[in-house]
Amino acid sequence: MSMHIKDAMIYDMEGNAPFKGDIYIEDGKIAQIGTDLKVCADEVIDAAGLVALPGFVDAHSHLGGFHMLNYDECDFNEMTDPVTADVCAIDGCNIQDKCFMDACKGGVTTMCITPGSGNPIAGLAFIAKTAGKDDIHELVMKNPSALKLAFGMNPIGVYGKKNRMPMTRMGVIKVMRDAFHEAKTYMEKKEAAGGDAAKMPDYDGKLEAISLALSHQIPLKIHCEQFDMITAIELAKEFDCEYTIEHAWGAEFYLPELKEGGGAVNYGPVGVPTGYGELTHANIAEVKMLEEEGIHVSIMTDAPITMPELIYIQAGEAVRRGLSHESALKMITINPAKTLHVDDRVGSIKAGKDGDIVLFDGVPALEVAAGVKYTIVEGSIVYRR
Amino acid sequence: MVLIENGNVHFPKGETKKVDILIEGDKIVKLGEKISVDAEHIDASGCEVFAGFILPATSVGVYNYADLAHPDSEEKSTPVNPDLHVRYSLDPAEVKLQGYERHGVTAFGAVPGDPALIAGQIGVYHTSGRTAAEMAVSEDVALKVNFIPSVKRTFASRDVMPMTRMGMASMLRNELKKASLKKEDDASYDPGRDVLCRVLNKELPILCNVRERFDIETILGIQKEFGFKLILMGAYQADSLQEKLKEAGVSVLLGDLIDGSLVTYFDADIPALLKMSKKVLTAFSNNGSGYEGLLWSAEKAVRNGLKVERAIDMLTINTADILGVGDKTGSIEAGKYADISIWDGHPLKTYDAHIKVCMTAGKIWRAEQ
Repeated sequence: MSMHIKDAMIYDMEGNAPFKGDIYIEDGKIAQIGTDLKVCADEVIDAAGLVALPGFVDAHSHLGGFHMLNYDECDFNEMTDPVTADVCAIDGCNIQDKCFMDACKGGVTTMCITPGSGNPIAGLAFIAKTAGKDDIHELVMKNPSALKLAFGMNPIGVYGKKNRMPMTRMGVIKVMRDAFHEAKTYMEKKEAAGGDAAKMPDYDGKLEAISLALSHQIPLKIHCEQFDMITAIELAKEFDCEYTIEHAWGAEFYLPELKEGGGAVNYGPVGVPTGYGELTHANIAEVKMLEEEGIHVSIMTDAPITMPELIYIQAGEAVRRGLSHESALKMITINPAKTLHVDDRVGSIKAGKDGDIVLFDGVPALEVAAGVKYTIVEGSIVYRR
Repeated sequence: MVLIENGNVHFPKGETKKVDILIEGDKIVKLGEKISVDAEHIDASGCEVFAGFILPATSVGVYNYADLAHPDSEEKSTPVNPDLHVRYSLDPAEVKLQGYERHGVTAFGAVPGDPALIAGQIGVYHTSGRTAAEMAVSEDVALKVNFIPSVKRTFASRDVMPMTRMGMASMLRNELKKASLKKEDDASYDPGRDVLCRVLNKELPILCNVRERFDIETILGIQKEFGFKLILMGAYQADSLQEKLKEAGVSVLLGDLIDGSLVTYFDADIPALLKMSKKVLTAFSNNGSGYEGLLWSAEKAVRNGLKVERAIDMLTINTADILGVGDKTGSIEAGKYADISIWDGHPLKTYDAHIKVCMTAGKIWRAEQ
C-alpha cells in the first residue's frame, strides 16, 4: 500500500519553515518528501490548500478506560490498594469506546494511555496508535511505557474516605517511598541469588513492576500539581529514576526545581474552573514560562476528561496567551514524541518515520476555523471530513 | 468618564462601525464618530471592540470550591426547591478567581447544580464585583429544572421519589398543578408555590437542563400542558425537534461543544445544531468549565462552518435576549451596561488575537503585557 499526498503546505516539525510539497508513504512509512514527486501510488490525496502536520502525540490520556457517562465502567482506577503497580492500562482499555474516533477527529494519532490517579502507585501505562487496527494490542508502540504515580487530592480523596493511608500528602510520599524501598531490596535479593532459583525471593508482581522504573527500563509518570512537584522530583532523585511531571498546574512557582530536576513536563489540561489548592493555577500561559526556562514541555489533554481535539485548541490558547506558534505546534508533536521516546517513529514528517499525517483546512493553533480534514495513520485514512 | 476611541466596533448581525464609545459610571452613554470630551481615553486604534461575552449557565461561582465535599450549588435534600435563589450561594471571590476577563466574559448566569428536580432560581451577574447585589444584572431570570439522569440517580439511592423518568415528570406536573389551583385570596406563606405561580403566569421562564431528544420531548409535553416560557440548556439533540421548538417559542442554550463525554455519547450533530440556530434563538454555553470554555464552544462552531458574525451574536445578544437581559447588556448601545472587550485581532478568526482591555459594568481590566 502506498499513498501520495500532493501539494500540501507542510509543517514538518523538523525545524524547516513551512513549505509546499508532496509526501509519499509506502508500507506505512514516509518514503519521500519533496516537490512534484514522480511516484505512482495506490491512493492519491490532492492536498492543495491543505496544511500537513505530523499526527499529534498526546502524552497523557485515559482513552478507552473511563466511560464518562457511566462511572461503573471506569476500568482505569483499581482503588483497592494504594499500590497497584502491576496493573496494566492496556488490560482496561476498550478500543470499541466511542472516544477512540474522537482522537482521529482531533488529529491525535499517538497516545500514551495511562491508569488513573486514584492510587499513589497506580499501574503501568502504554503507548499506542489511536486507529488503524481493531485490536488494541496491534496498535501498541511500547508496553509498558511508564509507571504511573499520583500525588495529591486524587489518592487522598480515595483512601481518606476509607480511613486508610494515605489520607494526607505526608502519607502519599510514605506509601511510595516504602514501596520503592521494598522493590529495591527485592531487586538486590534477585541479584544476590545470581540465577539460583532456590535463593530467589518469592515472585511479587508489584515489586517487579516498580523494578522496571528503578532499573531505568521505564520512566515514572507522575501526576502532580503545585508543591507536590517538589516531592515528586525528590522521590525521583532519591531512587535515580527518569520521570515526567504530569498536569503540572502551578509549575510557574517551581521553575528552578523543575529545571534542575531535568524531567519533562506534560502540561494540562486547561479549561477547568479555578478553585483552591490544586485548582488554583491551571493556566496555559505556564507552558511559555516553562519553555523560556529551557524545560522540555508538551501539551496534553487527559482525554476523555477533555476531548482529544483539545490538544490543538490548547495549543491555540497558548498562542493567544503569548506563546510562539512554532513552539505551540512542537508541544503537540515532536516534544511529546521525544518525551515518550518514540521520536524515532512519530512526531515529525521525515523520511523513515511512520506515515502518520493530519491534514487541516487551515493552520491549526493559529487560524480558529482550521479543522481536521484527514487523519492518516501509517498510510491509511482513519478519518475524513 | 471613559472614551474608547477609534476601535472597529462590532454590533449585532455582523454590523461593524468605526465609532467612539463614551462611558459614564457603569453605562454606555453615547456612541458617535470623533466624540470630543474630557475623559480617560482608551485608544482602540486597530482593535476589534465587542460587547462583553455572556456565559449563560454555570455553577462556577456558586459551587464553593473551597470545600469540594459540600457544594453550595447542590441543595439535594429534597427534589423540589422552587423558592431557593442562587444569590445566597454566589461567592464573588470564587467568580473573581476565574479571571473571566481574559476572554472578555463580562456576565454569567449563575445556576444551581444538577441533582434536584426543581433546583432553584437563577440570576445573571457581572463577572466582577464585591457582592451579589453589586454584580446583579438581573436576579429575576428563570427557574432551573433538571430533566436529566442525575436527578433520578440522586433520589434512587435514598429510595425516595423520583427514581425514574416517570417519577420526575409526575412530580413536576403535580407541583405545577398545585400552584395553578392557588385561590386568588390565598395569602398563606408558601414561597415555592408563589414562584411556580409566576412560572404559570409566564413571568418567570423555566430553564430546563436536558440531554437527549427523549428528555426534550417530555418537557415539551409538560410545557404544552401548562404554557410556561421555556429555555433549554444542554440540549445535545435539540436539532431533531427544531420545528416543535420553534412552534413552542422555546430558545436553546447549547450544551458544551467541547465536552467530549456528552458530545460523543449523545452523537451531537454540531452542524445540525448550528443550522437549527437559524430558526430557534440559540446561544453558546459550557458545562461549568473555566474561563476558556465559552469561547472554545464558539470556536468549535466556527470550525463547523458557522460564520464568525453569527458566532459573536451567540455569545452576546442572543444570550442576553434568552436570559431576558437584552435591554441591559449583550450589545454596545447607549443606555446599556458598559460591558465591552477590546482585542488586537478577531478572537474567532485567529489565535494570534490578544485581549487588551475588558470592561465590566464600566470597571476596567487591562491585560498584562
